[in-house]
Amino acid sequence: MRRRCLILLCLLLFGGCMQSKNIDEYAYVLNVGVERGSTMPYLVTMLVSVPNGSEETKVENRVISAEARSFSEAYETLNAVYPSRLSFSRTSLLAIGEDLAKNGEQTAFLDFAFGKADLWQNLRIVVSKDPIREVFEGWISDGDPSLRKIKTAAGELMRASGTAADTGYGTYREAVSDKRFDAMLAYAGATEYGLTEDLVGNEAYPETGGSLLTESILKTSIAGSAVFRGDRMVGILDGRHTMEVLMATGAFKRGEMRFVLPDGQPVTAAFYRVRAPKRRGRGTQASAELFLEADLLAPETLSMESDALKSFLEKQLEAELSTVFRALQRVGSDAMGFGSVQAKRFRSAEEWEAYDWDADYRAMTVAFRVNVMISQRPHDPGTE
Amino acid sequence: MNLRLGAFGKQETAATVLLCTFFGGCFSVDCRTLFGQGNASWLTEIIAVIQALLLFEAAVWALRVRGGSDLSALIGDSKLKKALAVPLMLALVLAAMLPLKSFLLTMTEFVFAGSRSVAACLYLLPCLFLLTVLGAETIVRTARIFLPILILSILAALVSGIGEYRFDRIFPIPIGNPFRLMSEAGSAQLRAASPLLALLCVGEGTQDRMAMRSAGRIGTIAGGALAAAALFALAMMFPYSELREMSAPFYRMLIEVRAENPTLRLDRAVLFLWLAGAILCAAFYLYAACLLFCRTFGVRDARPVALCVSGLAVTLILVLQYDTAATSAVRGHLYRDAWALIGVPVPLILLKKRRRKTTCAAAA
Repeated sequence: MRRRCLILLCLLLFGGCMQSKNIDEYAYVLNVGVERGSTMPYLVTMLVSVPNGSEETKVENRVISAEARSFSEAYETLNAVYPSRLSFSRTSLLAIGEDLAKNGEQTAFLDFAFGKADLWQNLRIVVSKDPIREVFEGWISDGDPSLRKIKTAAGELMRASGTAADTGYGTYREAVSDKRFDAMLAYAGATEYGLTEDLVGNEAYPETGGSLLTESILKTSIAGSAVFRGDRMVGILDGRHTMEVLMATGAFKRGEMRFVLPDGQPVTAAFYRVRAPKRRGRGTQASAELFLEADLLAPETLSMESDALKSFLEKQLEAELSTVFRALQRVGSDAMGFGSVQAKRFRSAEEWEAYDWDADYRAMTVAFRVNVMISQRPHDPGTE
Repeated sequence: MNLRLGAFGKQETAATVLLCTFFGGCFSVDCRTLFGQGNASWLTEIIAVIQALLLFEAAVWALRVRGGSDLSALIGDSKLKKALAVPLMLALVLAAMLPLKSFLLTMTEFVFAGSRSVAACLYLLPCLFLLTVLGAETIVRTARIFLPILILSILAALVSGIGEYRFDRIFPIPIGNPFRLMSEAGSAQLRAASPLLALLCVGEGTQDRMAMRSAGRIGTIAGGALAAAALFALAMMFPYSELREMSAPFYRMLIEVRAENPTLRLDRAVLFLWLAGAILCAAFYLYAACLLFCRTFGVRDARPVALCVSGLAVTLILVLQYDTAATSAVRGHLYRDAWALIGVPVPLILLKKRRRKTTCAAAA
């Protein structure tokens, strides 16, 4: 009986072995991008990886593009003219052109693309301020033909530096369809392009998070964030302000900030999230209490005592958080997600759906309270 | 007599009930009905399982009082009771059909995109026919072997999504209206009580009434807890506003997981494991319906009846796949009102004898 049961179980499980596919027939699309076309509504660009033999170093990367009216039209065109069959099973990044994002024109395209193509539902999604072809080409290098390192590094940069929002398509879709929060997507660009002013008013270079340009083999970098209201991009935040929004939402893990003490002495602190922020809200009143640990660089050289320094950092962060919140409020973007705090007090979906959150958000005041614990451990530069 | 019931132990029985409760709780749902007014599905699943257990305990108590070992002993010879068995058989066929319909939809939408339901159904049919004809012992023992793999796949799916869970997605929890909550739990009886109804039908195979009761309790509580946990994870993965528009929420949960490395993607493998589990559960329900029919109407060979009920289930799946006004209305009633197929006949079958006893006592 047991043998019969096992045979039966195998029959149930091995139904998928009936179709075979030759792996050499495929070219793998690693990144997909969509921006406004010149003759058709969309220009779809793909970064394609073609395995050439079994060694990873023999991988060839190419950027291909086609103008089309929909994703499937672009796919069919590219698939027809490309020597290999295009597969989306390894696609992990989706780029949206800033021109489309500012008018919310990407939503219809994306809904269709994710409905029809075999795209992974939670691709990392970025907004590209430069032509997507240049951004994709900027990632290609002989040193990392499989793009594995740069993709991992981009993800780690977002998580470990806190200077860019690491948002998947699922979260973006949720932000567009629901009023709990608005989306904040990573902002990508090719480094030779100029400065862009962020929502708060700083003229920091958004791709680097601070104010320094990078010199590297790769010409593309990701940092800072594009802020949305519904499906429209309403502005950008530089790396530091992105970090502060992430601190307020609870998505922050680690990040470094530089402050200037009252006597003009600079101080650099690496902040870590100790625990999730406590956020409360009812109507137009809300509060957020943050718990951070600060790891100071060369604390022995600082002129301020530890207690005074703690108080200084707390006040600085509270002031900056309030400034960022007001900047977001001005453009109507709830990127800090206070809508999700409001949803907790409702006892039925009908009440929540009837609630005019937009009106309350515009009149909302938020009291930020930051608790900083000065770390006693040696400074961790975040590198191996 | 060729009823193909066989004999099986407590572990096998509990494993089968656990599988059926889990698949019923997670895959026999209509998203528009369940999440239309907010998401308290994890809460209603717990209440539904408690209600189903109460009904089961009452049935086992009735069996103890009358000395029978399965539901056919309670039905007896009267024509009225035999008529009451028909909706129970229909409930079992529906309970078998609903998860399979959901998997068929997932396969045609996500795996074999653009393929027709009839073609995808070819994957299900041979296994379903074969299992149902082979009988309860084969199904139940296969379920016992399959259970650890299935639990691992469920845990892997739930754990892999941890990075994407957000607690605030479960709000607003629609607990403002307790009456609605209880009525939703009542509507969930088709999926919560069907495993225990099937167990009552094959009760003789468990060899002992107490073993049946114990296996039923363990399987229902464990399966209900697992289903409630999975539904809670689903609530943390998607807000209700997205869930009510989805056709295959658990598969969507698998493909929402962010994976830097494509080899970490579990969706297809897990989907086919779950599909195998759903086929096993469907076969168990169909065999139970077939046995109930044979015992009630005196049919001595279960195999032709097994083929008929399997065919009926597959036909219903295929018919209800079509999107017409009539099929939409039928689907709506199935998810909202089909509880009555179990909720009305079972208490009547249990109450019948007590009433007769009272009459006899009055006459005396």
